[in-house]
Amino acid sequence: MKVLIVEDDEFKQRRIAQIVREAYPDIELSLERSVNSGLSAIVERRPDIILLDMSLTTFDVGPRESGGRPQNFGGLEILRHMERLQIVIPVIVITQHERFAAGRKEIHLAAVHKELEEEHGQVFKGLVYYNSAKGSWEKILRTLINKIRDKPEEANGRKNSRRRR
Amino acid sequence: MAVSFDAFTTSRDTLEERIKICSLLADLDPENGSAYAEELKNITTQLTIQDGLRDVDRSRVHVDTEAVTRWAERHLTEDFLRYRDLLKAHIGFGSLEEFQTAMRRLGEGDRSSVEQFLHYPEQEGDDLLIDTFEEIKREYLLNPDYGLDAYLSMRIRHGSLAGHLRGPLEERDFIVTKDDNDSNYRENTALTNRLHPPPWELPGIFNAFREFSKRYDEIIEDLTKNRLQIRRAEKPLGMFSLPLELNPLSIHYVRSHIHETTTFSEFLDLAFGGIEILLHQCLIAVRDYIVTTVKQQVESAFETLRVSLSIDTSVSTYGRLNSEIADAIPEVQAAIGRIAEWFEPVEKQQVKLRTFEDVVEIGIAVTRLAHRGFSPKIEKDIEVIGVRSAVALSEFNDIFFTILDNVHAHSGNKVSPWVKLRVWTEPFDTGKRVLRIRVESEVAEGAYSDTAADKLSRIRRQMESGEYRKHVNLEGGTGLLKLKRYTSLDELQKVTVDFIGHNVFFVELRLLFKFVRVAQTDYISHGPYEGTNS
Repeated sequence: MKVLIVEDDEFKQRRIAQIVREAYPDIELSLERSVNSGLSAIVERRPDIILLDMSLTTFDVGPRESGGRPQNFGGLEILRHMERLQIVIPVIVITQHERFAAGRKEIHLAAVHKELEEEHGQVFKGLVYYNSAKGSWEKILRTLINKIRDKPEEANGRKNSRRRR
Repeated sequence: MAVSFDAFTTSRDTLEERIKICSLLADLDPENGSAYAEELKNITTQLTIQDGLRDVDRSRVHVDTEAVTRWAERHLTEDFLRYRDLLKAHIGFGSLEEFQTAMRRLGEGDRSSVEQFLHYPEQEGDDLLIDTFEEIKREYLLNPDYGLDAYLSMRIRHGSLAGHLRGPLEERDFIVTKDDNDSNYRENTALTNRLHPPPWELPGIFNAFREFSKRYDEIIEDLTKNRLQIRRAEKPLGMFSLPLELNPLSIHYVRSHIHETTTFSEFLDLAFGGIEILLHQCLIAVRDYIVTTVKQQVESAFETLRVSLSIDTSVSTYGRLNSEIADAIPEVQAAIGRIAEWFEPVEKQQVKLRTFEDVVEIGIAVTRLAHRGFSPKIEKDIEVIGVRSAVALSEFNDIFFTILDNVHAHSGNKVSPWVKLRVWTEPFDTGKRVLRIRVESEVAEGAYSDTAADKLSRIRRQMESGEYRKHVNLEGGTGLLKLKRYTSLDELQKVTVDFIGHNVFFVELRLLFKFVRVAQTDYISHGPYEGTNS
């Protein structure tokens, strides 16, 4: 099983990778840090599962790279591109945010969850609220991955999508 | 299929593409030509500043080898000539061919051939060479005006590193400072005023951020006061340790390249090459320490903060704080990565032509990276000259950073003090000119005091008496003293600092430079030391 983690926070990325490796020692794990590098990896490597952060920069941040436009919904950007390119790979969103700034408004996590289900139901398989101070997120993540692993035909979108448009 | 995320892989790519688009639009739509021209100018300035920041960062680890050379010529020429006489008498010494063959075999995996070069040389005559090399190394590392320690102090330890690491957190109200009176960390009211947690949660939040700030500052302090130091008795944890015993290869490199006709100047180039072999290892170790140990320490500080907040606040408050932490962490990680890159061993910089206006903008950008949210209102009056020397760019950057850092620290206005900058030249001698830089800046209401005036008088006395040398490699309250280094090698050069009344402070520098004319513009062609002494 090939798992791709797209996450710009190195600490969080390492923690997720550790949990996944411990639970599934035989997986092939790859790590990316931005919308741009995440999409390139999805197109080139075609992973079996994507663990996706919601807030991502456009490019990989580095000593000489500010990352370009910061995107509160960089994860959504990736999902939109996947849809445009007709790439159907199960995605689990892992976020540390309970609320997201969208212009002057704030969107609560529950609303984001609903939107993900409605807009990207074919690939979106669940949302995990990451809290490194507590361990409950790890259990939820493992449950979601198990579900995808055990029923790959459903995970790959053979089930009817709940997309509205 | 070509898609946008494949077309551009960096922000710079997108800016360069934007330049092409604007140029094309300017041709196709001349009516709006001025708007495209303005956009082109803005992007070009942005790219110039990015390049300048890169060059400045690459020069943070620096030694003025020209100055070391002048010192060595005065003090070590005789020792070298004596050594060469021994060489002529064929006493000991491995040959260049022998050394090169061994290196080639090592490259092929045969370690046995280099065994002799992995031990400290002990043949007759070697002592003299090693002593001479060690003296050059000592000057290279520790000279307070032009050695590595001086530049580490000026360009890394003094404000820059702390500013880069604290900046992303200050901008997000995530770190507090110590109270001036009792050295305790303040309450993080900036954050609580923004997030409005219930009053009963405030003590727990304040305490968590006090502890976090303390821990974070300790990480920075450990780096600046202990690790990023030349290792010596008083700095036993200093990471810049270049003992020959650990890598005798460097002295073998020098030793095997010296022959009977080697000049002192050629010998010095070899010695610098040998020191750079040692320094290269240190730089890699420092960089690795920052990206591994420092990052782990920072991660641990954030985790402790999270745990404290999760215990002391409600689920709702914690959710908002955790979200803020999530936004701050990638920026802190990027800042750590950027600092680590300062220690990346680099080749010598290529000569680039820059206007002095660009040099000033780069200096301002460097200062703002170290002090996020600091946006001085700068009125500029700059003569049309340029800078062609990478060394001069870095030195001007030191000067502007030091002056603006001082404004940030002492003007009493940490956000947008007014600053007037004037740069002009006066003729001096053939090919040389006096460059004058005068910076006047705001002293806000209440920032002037008798204590501040006394402190400035003391700084002036230290500059005049030469006592400043004892302080320039220390950090904290020594910024203006560091400016004296740039004028110290020629009595015609000068730095003046003073208050004008109680509301204005000024710094004025008088420096001598060589200029060359390139395409109708006069460019500074060397760093200030070379300009005054050659």
